[in-house]
Amino acid sequence: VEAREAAQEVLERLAALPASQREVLRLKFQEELSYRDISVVTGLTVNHVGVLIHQGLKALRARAEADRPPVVALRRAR
Amino acid sequence: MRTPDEHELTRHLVDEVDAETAAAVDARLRDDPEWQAAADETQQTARHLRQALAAEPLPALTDDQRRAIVERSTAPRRSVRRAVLLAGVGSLAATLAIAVGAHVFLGDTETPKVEDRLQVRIDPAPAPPPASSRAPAVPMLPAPALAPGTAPTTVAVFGTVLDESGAPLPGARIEALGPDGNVYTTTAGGDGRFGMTGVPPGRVELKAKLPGFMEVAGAVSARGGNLVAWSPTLRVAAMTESITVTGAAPRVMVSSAQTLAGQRSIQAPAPTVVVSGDQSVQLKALGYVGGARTVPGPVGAELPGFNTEGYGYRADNDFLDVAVHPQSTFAMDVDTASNTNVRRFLTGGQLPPADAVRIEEMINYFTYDYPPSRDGAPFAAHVEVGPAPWRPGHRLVRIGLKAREIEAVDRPASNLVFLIDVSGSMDEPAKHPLVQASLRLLVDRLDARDRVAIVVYAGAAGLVLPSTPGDQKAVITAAIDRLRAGGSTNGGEGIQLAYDTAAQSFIRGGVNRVILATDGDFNVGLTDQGGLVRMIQEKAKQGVFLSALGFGMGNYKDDTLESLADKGNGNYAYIDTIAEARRALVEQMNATLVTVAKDAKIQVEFNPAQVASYRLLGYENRLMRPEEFEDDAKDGGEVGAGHTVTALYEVVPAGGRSKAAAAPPLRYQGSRPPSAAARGGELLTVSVRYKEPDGSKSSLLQWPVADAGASLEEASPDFRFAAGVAAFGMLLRDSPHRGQATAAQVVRLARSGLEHDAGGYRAEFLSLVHKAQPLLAARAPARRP
Repeated sequence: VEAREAAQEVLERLAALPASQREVLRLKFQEELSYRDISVVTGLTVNHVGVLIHQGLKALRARAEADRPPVVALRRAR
Repeated sequence: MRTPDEHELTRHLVDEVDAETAAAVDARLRDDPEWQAAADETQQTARHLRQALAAEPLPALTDDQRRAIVERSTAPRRSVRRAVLLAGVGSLAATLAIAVGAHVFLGDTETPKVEDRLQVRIDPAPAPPPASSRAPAVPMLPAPALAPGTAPTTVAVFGTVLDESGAPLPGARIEALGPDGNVYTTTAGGDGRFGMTGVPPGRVELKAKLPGFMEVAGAVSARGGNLVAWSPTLRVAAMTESITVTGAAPRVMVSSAQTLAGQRSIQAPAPTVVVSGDQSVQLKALGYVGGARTVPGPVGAELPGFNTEGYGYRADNDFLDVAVHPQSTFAMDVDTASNTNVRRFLTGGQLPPADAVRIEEMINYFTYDYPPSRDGAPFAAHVEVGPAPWRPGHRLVRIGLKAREIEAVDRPASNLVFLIDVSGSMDEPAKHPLVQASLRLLVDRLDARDRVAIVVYAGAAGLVLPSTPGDQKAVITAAIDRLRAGGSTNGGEGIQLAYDTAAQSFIRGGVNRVILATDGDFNVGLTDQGGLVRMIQEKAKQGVFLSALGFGMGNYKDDTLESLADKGNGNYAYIDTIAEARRALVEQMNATLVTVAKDAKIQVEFNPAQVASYRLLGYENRLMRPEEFEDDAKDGGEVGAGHTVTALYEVVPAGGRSKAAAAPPLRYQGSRPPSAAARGGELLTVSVRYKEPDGSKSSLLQWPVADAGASLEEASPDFRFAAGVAAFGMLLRDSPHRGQATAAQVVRLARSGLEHDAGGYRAEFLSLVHKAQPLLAARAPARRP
């Protein structure tokens, strides 16, 4: 159950990423395509794919650390 | 050894890099403890992500969703055109169809966009799919989604059209000639992407065409269920007739996917790309629903009125015969978002899609030297008549209206509620940070009389800053700085909360306004858009107006924002740079915030003794019936302090060859003799109806105009500049009425109008024309064989 909840949270954090990052992350880690193939499929340069994957992973990690819904955080901030 | 960067580190960890890079990364990993930590975290994140994606759950529908699907699935379909313009009320069923599919297969909870809805609505194969125990609502739908375990029997083709530099190329037409002899077509979206489903299996020949580019062809043998990824590169055509190049080695990749949900991937030798699962859902999840129109039919069959960037379709106004249509009526419009959009495309090296070019918005982007009225009336009219530069013999009438100016010190107190989209799609440099920067600019101009509140919306709506006096800048700025983007979007709830907040701190006699900042990519939850629009209209009547600011690029849907702003007695602007934010919010703060007239309408009556036919340039979606001019219940446009509104008419003088279709003669109504005024030689009369911002009864202003026969040289610089902008708009739209307009002519006209160029906007226009010149030239030969 715990593992499933953790996975659910990962998916939620993934869903909150910009579409461009989400797409390449799914192509990389779900479809297991190479950077090159992702580049061909998306029309992005290989470098751009690399940047998006790097940023996407970084954002997932940062969100995992913060791990609080943004709107609630905003309310609390007030 | 060179120092590798962290992108290379990530790639080394999750992909392959060349030996040299690998060695460099490994070396730095040995020496740099921070890198070791980063590598561990990256690998851990990647592992979690893989596990999560592999175990992606299949969420059930909520009762509300299920009920809505059942109700809507029996509703009659509307036309495709209407679906585009309304972006969705009647297509909720289809929206949910895709949403359901996405849940089932990918767990993607993102809100479907307009094109998703369209994809389903117009899919040529509306046969109900077989039942599925997982998604009980799916079988109710006329959707193409196939249930898990059912082998798709058709082929899907998707990809991105690129130019030689590797940049996405929008608007290309993709044709797939199926083994059944039908040609299936779609059009690549603004980001160059396309996706088509429902192509029969067998040998499929593919073509990508775009005027001005050489055609690229490819072929593939595909089995049912295959997803074919094809990203053709188009090269600019030589300056001759269009050439077909076959065998330009487009990359055609075929999958052998025939898998069930849960079986996530199949590795096949490169360059084969394998994507498994349901086709339409997969394409959607990957973002390839761009030109989702897949229509079997003969080559060249074209549905007008469809494009994918969310710009409403508009045909150019035609010439109208004065005998049949003596009056031309439209709502006054001062929005300028189109010019910013056009600039975005041209700066990116692309011609904008025709429907993103709104001539009236381009013309009104620039300020003209119209003195305000001296007698206290809200408008002064400045009408000028000269030659239409693109059509010898035709006259061009420029109607310029100048709204009353209000000195900064006379500005009424403002009660502003910022309604800010903090959804995940806003989390981009051109969006959320720009929203924050824009708001800081505006807040800087407020003082103690003003009040500011901030409402955010994403998954839920929240009040981040209660209504606060405008001089407490530190409090307001701190609230702006705390805003973070992330989460999904539900616009409806946020708008309700924003209006409630505005009502609570209502300033009588002041400016009460909700300022919506979004990328326009929001839905309104399951409440229908009609209800939202009604609420906005209702609040506008109570004196709370709506301004809509559009941010960002890719998924920008400007017809939604425009329609919300229209209903909310408001304006909208598209902001892509901080300079644009300054322009929209600060330089025009008075104009943006202070409405000097509402429900303003223009009616022009032409004198048949002088005018055979006429054509209004732009304002296509602002047209009104003549009788609506007098009807105070009909909404017009909102005009802010100091705004100028410019409208151009191209006029065919009486005795000239009328461009309009002639009316059949009437049997019972003889021709009436012309009135005394008609014999007096007047060309036309401009009438304006408007209400005071807090009034409910309209007032009328009128100005008769004669044509003194001025030449282009005698016309004012403003006239020539506006004519140049209009000609440029017609060229970009590839308008049938562009006549002899050329980019060189636009440059001449604009240059001669550079005299009044406060802010440098006209010089910027000139540089845009220069950018467009080669693009237009590249398009021209293909169009005129």
